[in-house]
Amino acid sequence: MLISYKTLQKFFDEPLPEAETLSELLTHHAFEVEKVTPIGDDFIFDIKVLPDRAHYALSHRGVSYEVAAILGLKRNGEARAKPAQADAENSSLGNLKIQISEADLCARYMIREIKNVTVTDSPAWLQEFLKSIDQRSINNIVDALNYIMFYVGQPLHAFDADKVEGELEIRLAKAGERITLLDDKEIVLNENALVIADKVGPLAIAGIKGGKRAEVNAHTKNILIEAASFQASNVRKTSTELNLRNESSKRFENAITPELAVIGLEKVTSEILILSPGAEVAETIDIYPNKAPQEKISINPKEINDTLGITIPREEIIKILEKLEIQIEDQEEKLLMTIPYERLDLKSAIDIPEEVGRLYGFSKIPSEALSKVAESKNLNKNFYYQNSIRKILGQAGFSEIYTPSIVNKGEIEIINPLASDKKSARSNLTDNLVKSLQLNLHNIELLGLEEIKIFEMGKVFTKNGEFTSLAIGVAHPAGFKGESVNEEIRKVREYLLSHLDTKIMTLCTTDDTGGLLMLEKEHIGVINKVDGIMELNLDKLIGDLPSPDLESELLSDTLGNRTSQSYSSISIYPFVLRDIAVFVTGEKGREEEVLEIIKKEAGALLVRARLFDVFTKINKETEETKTSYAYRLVFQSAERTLTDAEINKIMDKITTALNAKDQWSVR
Amino acid sequence: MKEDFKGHIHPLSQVIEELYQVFSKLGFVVAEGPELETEFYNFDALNIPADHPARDMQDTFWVKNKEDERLVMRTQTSPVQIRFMEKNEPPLRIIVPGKVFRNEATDATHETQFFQLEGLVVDKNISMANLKWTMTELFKGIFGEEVEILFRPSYFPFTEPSLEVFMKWKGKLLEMAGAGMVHPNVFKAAGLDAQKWKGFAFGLGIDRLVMLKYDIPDVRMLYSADLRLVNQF
Repeated sequence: MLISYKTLQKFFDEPLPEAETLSELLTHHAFEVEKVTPIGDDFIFDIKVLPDRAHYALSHRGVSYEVAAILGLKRNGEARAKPAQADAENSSLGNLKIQISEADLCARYMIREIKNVTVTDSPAWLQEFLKSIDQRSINNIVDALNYIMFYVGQPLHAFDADKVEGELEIRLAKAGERITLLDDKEIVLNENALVIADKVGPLAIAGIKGGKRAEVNAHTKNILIEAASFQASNVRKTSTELNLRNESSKRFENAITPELAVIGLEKVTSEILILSPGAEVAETIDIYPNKAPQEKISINPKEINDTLGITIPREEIIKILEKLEIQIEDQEEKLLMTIPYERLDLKSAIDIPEEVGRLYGFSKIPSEALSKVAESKNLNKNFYYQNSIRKILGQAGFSEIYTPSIVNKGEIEIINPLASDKKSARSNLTDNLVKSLQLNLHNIELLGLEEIKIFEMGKVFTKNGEFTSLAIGVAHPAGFKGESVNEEIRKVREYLLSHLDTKIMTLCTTDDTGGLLMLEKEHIGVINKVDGIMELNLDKLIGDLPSPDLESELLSDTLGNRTSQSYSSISIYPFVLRDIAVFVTGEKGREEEVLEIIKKEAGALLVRARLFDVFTKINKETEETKTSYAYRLVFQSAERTLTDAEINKIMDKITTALNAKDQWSVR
Repeated sequence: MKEDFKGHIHPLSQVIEELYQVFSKLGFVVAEGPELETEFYNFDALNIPADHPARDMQDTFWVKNKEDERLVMRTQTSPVQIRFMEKNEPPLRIIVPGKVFRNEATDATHETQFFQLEGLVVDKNISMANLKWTMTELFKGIFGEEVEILFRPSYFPFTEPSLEVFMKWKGKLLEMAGAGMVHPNVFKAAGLDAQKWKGFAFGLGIDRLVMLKYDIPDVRMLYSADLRLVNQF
């Protein structure tokens, strides 16, 4: 919500502290000021008002209430309702007739006829004010309504009085009833929608939007100003269903006191009488059958201090509460508080400590230790074994990944997906693991790995419910010499199960090309259905394991090998591979020497060098022994795409340096 | 089990384990609950009624369900508070590390899924001073002794008073957690006597903790399954 510092000042006779200081104070004691933007000679505060304070704070008047409480200032007459015209109050000529058919949905309905208005452009100051809080200027009448809504928080509406036919009724819409809105959009109403209607049909959707038929435009002479109190959840429901959420519906759905209606109506009347000279108040009707009760709350100051964990003297507590315009009756033990109408968030004694605490200063709350209890012996079995399995798999050379739970395809569908390819909750981990293996295989040289070995642990969602799954996968680059991925899955499976006291049985083809994991007679996992991947129901596996052993080595170890204390960024530019092999006279064992020269000549663009082949050759004739060292070099820049030409140049440098060594030669 | 540790454990898991180490010493136990949660546990029991603006504080993924009860991908780990209190008598000290979901556009600091650590303490005499101490223990445990904890007012439907927990660290003031005293309606929803018990609860984003601790610039990297990140840890 945007608040103008200059406009806030109107509520005080004393000058307010500077904008930055005030914004800090509000953030520490009331709500977060997210931004302060200077505009001309004003500052605009962007304030994040959360639902509890939205009852009263979604306006300049509401924020001025907090400013007054924090600074201990008294607000001037601006905060109150002053009759706009001495004889205007309750003047009923009997021309206006209104019927409320849904009393539960409309606690108060005030309407005032103002005659002989001139609809024209707003003066510069009003246009500028509206612009500064991101609102559009329409004409002097509509602008006055908007201005007062942002000024005191009461949403207001105006009808062209000459276009209203017959009596007004506040009623629910009839099935299929239509209304054309101010923006010419026609809307079909459902039977929950509250409308203001005349004998022809709906003129406005209550608290949400006005209709075209009684719009105030350049030809309007006489207007009816509405200041009402519509029920919060009904406004919220209708505005959500019609996808019509706006500044008016926002204030109503947060619930505002019906007492605010009269303030809004008087202020807007005064404003219109100024903006449209010659206009005059004709008639006012106020239907308010059940006056809002003023909440009375009784509290023992000790309860406040017990919750806050601090001892604030009784007198100080009273002083703080009085700053919030709460009237205090100091009874023997307790304080009887009369709560301001606007504070619909203060409903019981529970709500009072926060008020005292925040104004006193939450930062002054001391730190007090929890009572000492023995370190918990009640170990969570799932948590314990999940971390144990992470460690076992880590020891087997596997790295842990996390992938999205919301995916393209799954058994459980999302009603309101964020994107068309993210419309289900995942039913397995394998699908994501396949993609992850491919991604990492692409980077295998950059990673300096010979194969990709990963696992994920996480919830999956099926028609039969959710459970924690574990998937383990292996992928090999083209030309990998060694055991097959399926064989490696067999090895890691046996390694894992041998570390756990489990009865799991494996049913497998002899060459491990596919199989099932069985617990008793239940099938809890699949092996190599996709080559190199196994996935199993971890909840079932863990459920069958014995209770955690508190003395276990697994528990005392920390997770992982902590190679890194901070992250080094990943380059977004492609990497380039080059191989180089050099013969060095003599037996094996000089790879470090070779590497050192490579590194020195290659410079910072060389991000990885892997010795991938070493062999020794004896020349039968000369009996000379020489050893070949083959390195795979990975080049990458953090700033740009490398060109072949510049890598060739580096390779030439390396070759020259290696060849320069006595009895070395690049192959 | 003495072989070299050749694999790498994801930093999220490492930090969750560290958090566990901090809290187990203080007598907390780990609790858990479903990620696909009912509307009742995710909202109503937490004092967030239908048609209340507080529902807008969390953009929610609703899930198709044959039964009458509406299901959501849980937007917070707080439902586990209710589930645990229904089954266990106070005094209680629990932490709940777990994945949560928000239906909002992603960027460097927002993901549709992230990990939260929920904490709940229920006992006879519990105050915000105990909460301050616990928060101090928590963040000193993860970021070291030079940490200072500050509170600012806030709002959560399930706590009263509610506050934001800030951490002063390396010259920066960082918003780290939401917290507050357990609202009596939450005790009532879980079947506990709100006259008899008091408590505090807190919730913090584990992803953000990981990002701060290791200087990782983009939350999405944590779910990219990219070993260029994981294998640094």
